[in-house]
Amino acid sequence: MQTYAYFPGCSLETSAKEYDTSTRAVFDKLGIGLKEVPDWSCCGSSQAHKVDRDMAAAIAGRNLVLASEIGDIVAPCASCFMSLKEAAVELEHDSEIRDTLKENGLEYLPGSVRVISTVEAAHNALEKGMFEGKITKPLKNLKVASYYGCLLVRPPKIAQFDDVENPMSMDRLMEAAGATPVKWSHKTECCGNAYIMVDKDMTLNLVRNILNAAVSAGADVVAAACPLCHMNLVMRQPYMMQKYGLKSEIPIVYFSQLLGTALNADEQDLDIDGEVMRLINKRRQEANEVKEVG
Amino acid sequence: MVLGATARFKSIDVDLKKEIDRLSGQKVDMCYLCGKCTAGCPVAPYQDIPPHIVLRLAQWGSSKVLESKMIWNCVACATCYTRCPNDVDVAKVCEAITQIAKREGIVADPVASALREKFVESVKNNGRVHELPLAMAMKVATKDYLGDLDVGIPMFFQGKFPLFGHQIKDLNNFQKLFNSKKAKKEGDK
Repeated sequence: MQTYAYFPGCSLETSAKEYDTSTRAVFDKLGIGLKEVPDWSCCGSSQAHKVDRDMAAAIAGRNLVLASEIGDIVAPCASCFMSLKEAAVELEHDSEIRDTLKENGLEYLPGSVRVISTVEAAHNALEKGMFEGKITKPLKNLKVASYYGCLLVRPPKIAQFDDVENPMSMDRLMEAAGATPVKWSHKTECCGNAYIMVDKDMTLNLVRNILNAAVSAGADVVAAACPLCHMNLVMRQPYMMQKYGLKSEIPIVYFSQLLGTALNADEQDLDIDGEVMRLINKRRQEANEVKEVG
Repeated sequence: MVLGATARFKSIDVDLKKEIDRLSGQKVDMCYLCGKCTAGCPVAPYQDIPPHIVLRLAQWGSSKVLESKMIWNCVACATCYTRCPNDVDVAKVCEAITQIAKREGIVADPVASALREKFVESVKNNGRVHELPLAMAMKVATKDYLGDLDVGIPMFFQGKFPLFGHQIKDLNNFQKLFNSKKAKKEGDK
C-alpha cells in the first residue's frame, strides 16, 4: 500500500478538526496510507518567513527530515504545503541552513522528500483510477465552486502543480464525486489569510468578492482546501450581508468532506454541517426526479 | 551607518537599495514598472502606495519606502511574483523592507508587525501555534477586545479553540533552530 508522511498542521488539531478527520477518511477509502510525521512542528506558515527567511526554512525543514523516514510528505493545509515545499527548495541550495539542522541532529538529504498537497495526492489517485467503483454516493446535481486560494498553485515555480490561473484538479475531483463544478472567476483570489486579525475591513472586502463570485456563478457550495481560507470564508457571512454587500450566504465545506460523502465515508469523520447535508440530499432528489420525468 | 536616515524623498541612497537586494535575494532594478503586480495585488487598493511604487522607491533607494504601509500588509499571496515578466518576487522585496524598517525603528503598521512577532513567539514557545492566545494577543494589538466574540465563543464551545496548546516533545532542540548561526549573523548587522 502506498503510504505518505502526513503533516496535519496546527489548525487541523483545533479550528479545522473536520478537515483532518475527513482527509484521513478519504485516503482510507482510497486505500492510501497516511502516517503522521512524528512530533511534527509548525511549518512557519505565512508569518515566520516575514521575520527571518532562514529561520523559517530551518523550522519547516525539521519536518522534512522527520518525514523522510516515512516517505513523501502530504499536507492538507495550503499554507503548510507551500512553507514545506519552499523550505525543500531553500534547503537544496543553502548548505548553511542544512548545517543548522545538522547541528541539532537533523540531517537533511536534498531531494529526499517530495512535498505535495492533499488535493494533488487525491488528484493523482484519480488519474490512477483509484476512485473507480468507490463513488457509491454521488453528489448528483450539486454545483460546487472549487476554491484553491493562493498557495496550492502559487508561486508556480515552487508549487509545480496544476494551471496557475485556472487550476482544474479540484474541479475534476468534484466531477468524479458526481458533482457539477461551476466555472467561476475567483478560484485563486486571496482571502486575506491571517490579516483578518490585522485589517478586518480589508479582509472582509476580499472575502465578499470571492463569495459573491461563487454566488453569481450559481454555486450551491464552495469547496475549500485550506483551514484559514475556510475560516475567513465561513465566519462573517451574515455580517457581510448587512455591511459589505454580500449577495447571499453560501455554505463552505472542505473538498475532503464532499469527496468523503461521495465515497460513503463515516459521517462522524466527515462532520458535515446538517444544513449542507440536507442541501446535498435535496439536489440528489432533484436529479432523480428529472431522471424519472425524462 | 544608519540606513536612509539622511535620505529624502527621491534621494538616491545606493546602500538602501543594496540592502533590500541582499535581504530579499532579488534585484529591484529588474522592475520596469509595468504595473502587473499592482493590477493583481488583492490588498493594494487598501494601502498607501501600490507594489510597483514600492519597487520604484526601492530602485531610488528612497527612505520613503520604509514608511510605507503597503510593505507591512503584503499578504504573501504570490500573485505579483507569478505574473511578473521580470521574475521579481515583490513579496520578498516588501518583506525585506519591513525588516530594514524595523531595524530603523520605523513601523508603519504596528498591528501587522505584531501579528508576525506574536505568531513566531507562539511557535517558539510550544513548537506549534496555539490559536487562542495568538488571537487574544491580536485583540490587544488592535484594541478591538469584543469585536469577534460572536465568532470566537461558539468556536470555543465546539472545542475548536482549546485552552491548552499542544507542546512538541523535542522542544529544546526545536528552539535552537531559531538561533541559527545565519540568523545571528544577520541580526548583528
